[in-house]
Amino acid sequence: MTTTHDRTTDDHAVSRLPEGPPSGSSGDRAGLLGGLALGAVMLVIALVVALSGASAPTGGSVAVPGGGDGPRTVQVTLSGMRITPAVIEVPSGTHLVLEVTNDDAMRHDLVLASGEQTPVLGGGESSTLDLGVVDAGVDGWCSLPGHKAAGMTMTIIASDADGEAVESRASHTSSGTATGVGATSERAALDLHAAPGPDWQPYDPHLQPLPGGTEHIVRMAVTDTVVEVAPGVRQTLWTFNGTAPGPTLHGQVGDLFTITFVNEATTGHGIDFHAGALAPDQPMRTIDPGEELTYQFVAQGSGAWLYHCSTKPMSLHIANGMYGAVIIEPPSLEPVDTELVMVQSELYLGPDGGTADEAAIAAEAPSAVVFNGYVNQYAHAPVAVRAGERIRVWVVAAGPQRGTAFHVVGAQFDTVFKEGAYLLRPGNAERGLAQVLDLAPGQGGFVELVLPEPGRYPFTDHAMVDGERGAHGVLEAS
Amino acid sequence: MDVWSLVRFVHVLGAILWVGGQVTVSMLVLPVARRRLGERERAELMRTLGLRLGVITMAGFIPVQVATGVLLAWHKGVTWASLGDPGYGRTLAGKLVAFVLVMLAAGLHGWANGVGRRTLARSLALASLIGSLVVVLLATALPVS
Repeated sequence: MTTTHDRTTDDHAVSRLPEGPPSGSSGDRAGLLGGLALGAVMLVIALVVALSGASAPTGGSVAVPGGGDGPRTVQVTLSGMRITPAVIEVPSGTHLVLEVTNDDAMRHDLVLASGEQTPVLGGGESSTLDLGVVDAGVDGWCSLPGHKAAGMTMTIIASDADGEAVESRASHTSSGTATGVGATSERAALDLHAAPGPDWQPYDPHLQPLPGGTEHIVRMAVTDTVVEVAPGVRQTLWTFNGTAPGPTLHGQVGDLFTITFVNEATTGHGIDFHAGALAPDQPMRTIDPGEELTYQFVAQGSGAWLYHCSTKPMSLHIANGMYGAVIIEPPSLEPVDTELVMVQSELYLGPDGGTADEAAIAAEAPSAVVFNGYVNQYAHAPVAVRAGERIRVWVVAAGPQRGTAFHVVGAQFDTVFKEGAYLLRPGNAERGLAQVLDLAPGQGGFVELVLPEPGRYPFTDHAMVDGERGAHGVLEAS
Repeated sequence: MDVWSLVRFVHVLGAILWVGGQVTVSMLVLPVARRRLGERERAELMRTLGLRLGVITMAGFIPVQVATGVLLAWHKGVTWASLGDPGYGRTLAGKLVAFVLVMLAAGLHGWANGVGRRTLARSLALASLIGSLVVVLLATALPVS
């Protein structure tokens, strides 16, 4: 806006003014009323546009109008353990097409109870599902392990002419069947008093000696492995190097660990070592089957550290076997006669041969609680020790949901090390001893004890219900 | 606080200035001008103000609001089809319709002034102000999700 422009404007204005009608109160009132009327019209038009159609929906719901020719297409987004929209309402008889896009970093798919399913979609990938003519309700979900339980479900509601929902097909076909997720009735039966078969081998509870050197190069491969977790009960676990717990890594403060993490399983997995401190973004990322990554950390601090799968939902991945221990000795730790590692975790049994029961995990209702992955493992295979020798037991609470109150019946601990510090050392001023090492999920530590005389010394989680459902073993002292 | 906060800020600021400009001119300047100035001077003042507001609207306000609005909608994943969905889509559609009507009213207001139809011009100015408030109302009614 220049001065020239303004002057022109003003001249223009002045020249035009006399042609206008005389101003007066009647003109003002008419202008006012006209303005109010026009404004009201705008308000009505805008509100009609904004509020017409179906009543305001709850979030994540889409109503597809009926009528017209050809298929109706709805965009469906998979992201953040949600399917959006979660509810699609169509008039019965609508030809429905879903354009499914995975907006997430992790892989997803969409499976419908009516049988249609997308391939597993990577981040940014799309796929189209043609449902044909929809005349009944259909449930949908992501079939990747744990995603359905985490909330990745959707419903297509088919309404008849009266707007009533037509009965869902999903009520006839158990939506769990397609994913292999067992309903409660399908959970494998657990007999806490049965004995393992003759071929059963217990998980070696002994801590392997320091490998020597300050650099540890380890290959950790995730595989789907059928594992006996209790007498007569087999589960398809996701394992690190074939066992649950995975291999125990053993080193000293300052050691460098270089782990080649390989996904040889059938779904995405990751790994998280509590023993190292680093930005999780890259090393803890989820990798797809066939991929591998290198995870390198320096053990800056001593402790009994947990490692576990870093892929969501971690509750499921840990419950299905993806956990283990990293033992980093405090400096100048005295050697002992027997050194054991007990990793405690929960089992949420799925169907026999299946994977962990997601509903039971969500309900925090474990089938069993176990040391080193097997129900009453060291009651079936007692750990041989000697009376009078010094025993160190490293304990890690892997969870996914419960900690432990580790106790040895008939024995007292003269040394307790928990989460980076000694709580108790022999000969302290208080002449104190300890009875339980308590660990929250994800914590670790060790205790030392000397058994006074030969005998069978049970060890257990002193949370009694958990102890009685499998977190139980025996030190057999000769 | 990210770049989208900035875009949203510019969009809201634009709306504030536009509505504020109209309110200032018709509710503050006009009554004072009526009391203090002769008819000719008042008409000159109002016309100059109106024209300046018009130029600012055409050169600044509309491009900025449309650009930031399109950006925000794109960021939120709004598509042409989703404007028909009840809830967010339709509320936004209503807001856009109101915006277009307001711009039409404002443009016609300038034209009516130009051809000396002052009663019509006043109606259109008031309608533009009310319509602007409708736009703001619908903006605040957009479901947050």
